[in-house]
Amino acid sequence: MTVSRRANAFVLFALTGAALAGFVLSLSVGSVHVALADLFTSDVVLQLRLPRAVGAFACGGLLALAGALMQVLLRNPLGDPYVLGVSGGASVGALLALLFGLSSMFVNGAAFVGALIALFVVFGLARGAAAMSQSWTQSRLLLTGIVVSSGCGAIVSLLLTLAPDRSLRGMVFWLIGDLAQATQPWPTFGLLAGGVLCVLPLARDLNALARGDWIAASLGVPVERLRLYAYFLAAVFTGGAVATGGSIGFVGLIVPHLLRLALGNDQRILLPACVLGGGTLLLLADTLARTLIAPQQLPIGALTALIGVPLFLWLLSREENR
Amino acid sequence: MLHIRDLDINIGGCMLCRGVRFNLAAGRSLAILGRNGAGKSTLLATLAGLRPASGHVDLAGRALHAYAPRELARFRAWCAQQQSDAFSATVLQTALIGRHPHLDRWASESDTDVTLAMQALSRVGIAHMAAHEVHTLSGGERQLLALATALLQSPQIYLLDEPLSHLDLNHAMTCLRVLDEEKRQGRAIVAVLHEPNLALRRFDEAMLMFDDGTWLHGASADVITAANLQKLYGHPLRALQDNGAQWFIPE
Repeated sequence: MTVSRRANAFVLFALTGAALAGFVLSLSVGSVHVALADLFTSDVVLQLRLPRAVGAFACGGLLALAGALMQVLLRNPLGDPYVLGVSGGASVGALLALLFGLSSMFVNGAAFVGALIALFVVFGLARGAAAMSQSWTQSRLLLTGIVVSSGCGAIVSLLLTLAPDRSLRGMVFWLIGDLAQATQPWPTFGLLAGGVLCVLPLARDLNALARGDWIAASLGVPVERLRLYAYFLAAVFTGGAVATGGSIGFVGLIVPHLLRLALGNDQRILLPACVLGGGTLLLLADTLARTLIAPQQLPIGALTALIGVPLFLWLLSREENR
Repeated sequence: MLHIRDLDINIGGCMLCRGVRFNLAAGRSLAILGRNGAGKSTLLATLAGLRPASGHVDLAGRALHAYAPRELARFRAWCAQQQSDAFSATVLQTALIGRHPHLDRWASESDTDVTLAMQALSRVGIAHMAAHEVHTLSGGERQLLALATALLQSPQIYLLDEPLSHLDLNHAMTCLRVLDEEKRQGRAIVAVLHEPNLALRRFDEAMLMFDDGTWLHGASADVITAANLQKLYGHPLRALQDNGAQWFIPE
């Protein structure tokens, strides 16, 4: 056990190193080359690249953390931060703001408000089942989330059809996920830091919860309260990330799953690893997105999938062969 | 240790058992027998505090609902009828979750906890599997692991839902021996069983839960009779005598 604890410390250390290296890389490459020595004095870095890099890291960390929580809550490795309809609500909010030609700050704000509205609709409708058995509440929550998502999807299609051509491109980029709009990343980063502090004390309780509701309850975990709290946190994390970078897919599903294959399912190591791993993945993907065919920018959501899919399939096949 | 008064067992609005009352002293064991769907597991989960109780359940002189969840978890262990593992973990890691109620929020399992876990695994005879993936265990081995997890909780009372199901004869005897050891340490044991012969021979008391919502509780030798079992299971049984002991076999 001491050995594995040392191995865990090493993994977190390595991931922190990777995150720092990712930041240095992301800050130094681009259309203007910045020498390593000038990294913290150059205007290009401080005003353009740093906010964007921080935004990318925060979004990735939040999405992966939310995904890890959802996977434990649903006791299903296919859990995803978007199942509760949060991203659908955010999309409707953001697209409405884009339709009226509002500035990016308002778009982000509208997305966050949309996410919260979707969240309260889903929780409000699923609450009626609280008196029923736990699994029923859970499937009702999931179903409500999925239905609200598809409802939002319909509104999104409608908005895309009705939108004038000049705002269409922005909308599509927002829907795929785009960090160019992340000009004010510090609130998102604050949410990530606060989120880690809220979640880490619960890690062992979540380990128990991953074994089933009644087993967790018999081990002294206040299951109902923990479950509601964790759902709420996961939804707020998702809302924060989506409001900053659009609905970037894949990170929230794959990063926790990938790290679980490598590290096991101890939330005490998995949750911080997800924050670092998700953040670093999105940071690197965003660096690629803005440099690969510069000055043109690629949508980051497509890149995360292109990086993650082969990696994930390789890990999965390795797992099967073992 | 366990005092039950006027406890009604109902699930989904359907009354399964009415006005249950019995006491179980420390160092005693109770077997619960009944047909499938008679409410045995529901009764056990109610005693574990996992479902709301309509009636009085006292543990060590205090009402069940007066316990804080963590405190209760250090006092009673509950073993589910079936174990399901959504995520992969080793046998040792799975057993260690039993230490959860004994560890502070920020603490992680110490070397002492690992030693305790290895002892519990070796008591149920699966210490050699400590590093195995829990998904590779057979049903019986998984059941033994659940018992080891309960042992690690070091409770005063064990509530076990069919602890002997899936176990081969050798492992079933190991399980019963471990439970006897715990009993000698003054722990109480309540187990749902489908083996009237084992209930008669290895348990001090028995409770029969009939389909019509009635129940019978008493010393196993008094309650487990051919007539009662016939009424309980709705199938004729014959009692055989062997050296003064009774054995029941279905006709």
